[in-house]
Formats: sequence, C-alpha cells, structure tokens
Amino acid sequence: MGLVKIHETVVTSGVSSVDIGGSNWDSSYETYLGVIQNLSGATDNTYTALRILDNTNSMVISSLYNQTHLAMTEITNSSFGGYITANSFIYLTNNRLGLGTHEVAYALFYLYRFNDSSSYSYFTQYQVNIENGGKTQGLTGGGVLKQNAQHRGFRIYQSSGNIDDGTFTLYGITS
Amino acid sequence: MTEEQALAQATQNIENAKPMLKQLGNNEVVEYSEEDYAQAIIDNKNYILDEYNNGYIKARQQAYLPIAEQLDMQYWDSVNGTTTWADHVAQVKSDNPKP
Repeated sequence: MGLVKIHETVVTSGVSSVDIGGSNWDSSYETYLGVIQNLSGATDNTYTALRILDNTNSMVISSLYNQTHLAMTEITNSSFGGYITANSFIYLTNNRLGLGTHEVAYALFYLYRFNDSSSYSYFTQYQVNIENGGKTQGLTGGGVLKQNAQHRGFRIYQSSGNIDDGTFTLYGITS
Repeated sequence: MTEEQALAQATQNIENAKPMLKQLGNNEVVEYSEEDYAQAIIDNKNYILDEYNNGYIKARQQAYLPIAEQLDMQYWDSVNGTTTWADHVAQVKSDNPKP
C-alpha cells in the first residue's frame, strides 16, 4: 500500500472553511486519506465540523449523515462515551477548541467509495485534540452518507469564526 | 427553541460573519458563493438546535468523574453512610440543567 499526495493546503491567515478535495479532487483512487494537522480556531469555545462535498464541488445539502463516535478518552477525566448524529454536518471534535497554547486538533480520515455513484460513501475518523478545558481527547469513529452518489472530499469549518492555522492534505491510497 | 427561532439566529450569525472565505485545495482563497452562504445558514441553524437540545448532555459527560472513581465513591458511601456519590451526580446535573 502506498500514498500519493493529491494536494496540500496550508492555512496561515483566517478563512471560514477549508476544502479537502473539492475542485482539486482526483477520482483515480478507490480509497483516500485526509490528514488535518495543527488545526486551530480564531474564536474561543468553538467546535470543528465538516461536511461532505458532492460531485459538483458543492456541499451536500440534505440531512443524510449518520455518524458514530465510538470511544472517547481524556487524560484528566477518563471516560468512555459515544454519540450518534444525524445532521447536516459532522463533528470533528467532541468538545470545543479554545485559544490556549496547544489547543489544536489533529485528525485522519479514510474515505471509501467516494467515486461510486451507486453506493453510499463511508468514512472512518481518528482524531486527537486538547479542548478548551485543557483535557486531552482522542476519538475514533465513522460515518455514512446515506445517499447513492459520488462525492469529492469534504469541507472543514468552525461552528463560529475562522480557522486560523492548519495543514490539510489529501492522499490517494494505492494497492 | 423552535426551528424558526434557530434559523433566524443562524441567518443573523452568517450575515454578521460576511464576507466568509473558503480556502481550496490549491491554496486559492475565494469568497463563499450564494449556495455556500445558504448552506452555512442551514449548518449553523442545526448547530444551534443541537447545542440547545444536546449541549447539556455533552457538558454532563465532560463533568462526571471517571466511572471507577464513582464506584469507589459508592463503596465508601455504603461503608460510611455518606452521600458523596449522589451529591456529585446532583451537582453535575444542577450545573448543567436540561433546557
């Protein structure tokens, strides 16, 4: 298995959202890896969220997502939790990011069947961040976009305010 | 909170946030299209409703002590006749009330 970098976007000044894929999608691969590094928000106490992009590079409008966060661990308050959302967007972080030092998020997303117009699109997510209360959180989970359609990556944004920093990379996975 | 109230609040939030910019995969930065703005309003409305309906649940999950620690509290409460565990649960609930 190998990785082929499709594109990399580096945020150095505030933007409302970042597209991974979208107009720069390469449909040559069956499976993709999206990598988010050092994401920080400009506004205190905000969630990071994402939305799948459709094959016209628009965001998928309807509320068709199912998402499950399978486990959550926190260094200062060890617990296991989980929730399911069926909404118009997907949470990347289970708790809010703040503005303190090191309050940033890192995440991996594997994308499956995004080029198949006759099946649902699936993804798995692996994420870690320090949230606004200073706790370290790690999440694993996944989701399904319950719609037979092609998709072309996803858009990352904060629940309020801009994304201030971060590196966003899309890879194609080769067998 | 009704869906209409959330929509009104979201519409104002996005209006206040204009101009909103998106950074594309090739590092190009462009302003949101009308479709992007419309979708941002829908997402913000759903976020507002989710926070209203489920925010207290997430807050309680964050505030509860680890299960092992709560079991230990229950054991010592049974030995000593105290209410440490029940007090903890009640405090978390009162600090994060259901709307």
